[in-house]
Amino acid sequence: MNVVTPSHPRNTWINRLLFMASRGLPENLLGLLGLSLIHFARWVILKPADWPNLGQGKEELQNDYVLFCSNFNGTWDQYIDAFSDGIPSGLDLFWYSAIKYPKSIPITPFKNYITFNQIDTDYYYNATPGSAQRDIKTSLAIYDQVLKLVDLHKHSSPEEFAAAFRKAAYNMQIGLGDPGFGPVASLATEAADENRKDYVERSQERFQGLRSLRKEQKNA
Amino acid sequence: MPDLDTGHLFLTTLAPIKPGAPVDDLQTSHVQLARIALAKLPTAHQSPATNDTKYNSPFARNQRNHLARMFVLEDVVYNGRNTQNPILARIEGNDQTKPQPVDRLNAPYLVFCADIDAITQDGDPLPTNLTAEAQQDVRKSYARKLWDTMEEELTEIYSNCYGFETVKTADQFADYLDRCHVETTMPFHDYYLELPKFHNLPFKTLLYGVLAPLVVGLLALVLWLIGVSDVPLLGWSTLATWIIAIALGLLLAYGAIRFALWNGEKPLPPGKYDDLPSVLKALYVQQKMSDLYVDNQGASDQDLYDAFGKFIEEHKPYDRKSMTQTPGVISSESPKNVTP
Repeated sequence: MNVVTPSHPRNTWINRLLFMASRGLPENLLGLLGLSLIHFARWVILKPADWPNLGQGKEELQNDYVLFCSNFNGTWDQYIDAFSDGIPSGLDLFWYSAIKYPKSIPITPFKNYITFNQIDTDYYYNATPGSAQRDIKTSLAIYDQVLKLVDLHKHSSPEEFAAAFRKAAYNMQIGLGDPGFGPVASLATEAADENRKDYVERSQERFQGLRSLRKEQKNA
Repeated sequence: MPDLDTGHLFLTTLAPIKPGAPVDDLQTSHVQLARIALAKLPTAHQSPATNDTKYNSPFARNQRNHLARMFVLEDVVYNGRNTQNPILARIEGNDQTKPQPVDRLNAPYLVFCADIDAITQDGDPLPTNLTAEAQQDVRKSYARKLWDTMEEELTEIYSNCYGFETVKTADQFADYLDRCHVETTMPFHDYYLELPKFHNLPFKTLLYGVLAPLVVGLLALVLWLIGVSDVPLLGWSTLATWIIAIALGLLLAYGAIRFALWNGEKPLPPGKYDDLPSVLKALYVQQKMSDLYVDNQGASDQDLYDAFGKFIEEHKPYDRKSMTQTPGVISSESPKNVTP
């Protein structure tokens, strides 16, 4: 999800302060951590001077803008519902300076606001697409236990090891399983994936040809 | 520099897109060409539709980025005119029927955001802290990695952007992307098994520290306003006291704000297995461990011991470079999704 919200320049410093204060007052972050569905997220405050100028000219804007990008699992509605239900006041603080921000409760105007201020992602990559945030944390916990068993295996008797294994297995069994496809969240995305296949393949084959050519030229 | 947090760099870059169309394709604008280039990039093998395709995402050619996204920001969002209290508007002479100015960008921007391990050499441990220069080194190292592994794709995308004309090498791309860099204000990430040690802000101390001189100053101001020239018992001049105390309070307030900003910008430490190779290895081990667990239900102690010995030999739990899940796939079930 990408959301770009215009923000009052006189208030964005307060927003920055709220962000930084929340990092020093972790009880405010615990709500966000507790949602357990965000892998990485970011807020970027852009003042007019922050927009890079590579020849298009300096941006002369009356507002500051806040870019929010979140990598979450689940559907759009689940995500917004979780935010609004779980951490409404935290959310309102994080969008403190946003112009016309309707507050996170009630949810309908909030969802309308997000929809209106949202920018669609043109390309997205996820290195671990089969795993939700909780799946990753569970796998890390299992990995931690397995490494301990590996160390134990080196210098324990089969009886000692088996007892430790069973104890560890009891602790980790909730996370044992196989990653798989998530439910299809969008039939349009599914159809687009199907329809793009040939174009994607052709462009990749062209790039591979160019890469080989480049390699040959380098070696020559 | 809040770009760095939990050992990761929250890379944010904005590249302005050129106006109009290239001379050799006057029918298609640069914005549209950038979008077409992005639409033709393979995604990860992430869905039934993409799982069996020949090509994985070009971003899967490195083991540094957990997540990446690109999108075209055609213009900033306008949420309608700013409303004003009608009495104030009447007093100030603001005619609310007249249109207010609306922000428009000089160019559309290609936004590229990536969540990457903040390292310059593959296999390095995640850092707890980095100087601004070291963060720039990480950004440039990542950009060079991208160029080395997906130069053709990057060229097709970024040739629609201002300033890319002179980019021909990995170093030039690293410099170019650095010119597009903007600082992330508030990063958030959570792969923690145990919560980290937060940089706690002494909020109450700061609050009372600021309020104390302000309260004294306000009391002295009230005394001064009602004609008391000296503070009772202390004998200080009320005029001097309220001026000095309020000035001190404001100074402390400014200091407290600066301190809270500085404290919040300090990065949180990385989690125990927070780098991408560890995450991929953990996912692999989780799946193989499930098989081991199922296959050895009710096994004797000796059989279990032997089976785990074989598990170690085959799956090398400590080795994060081999016998691990490749980036950009659903699971390790298929051998083609495993780095041997």
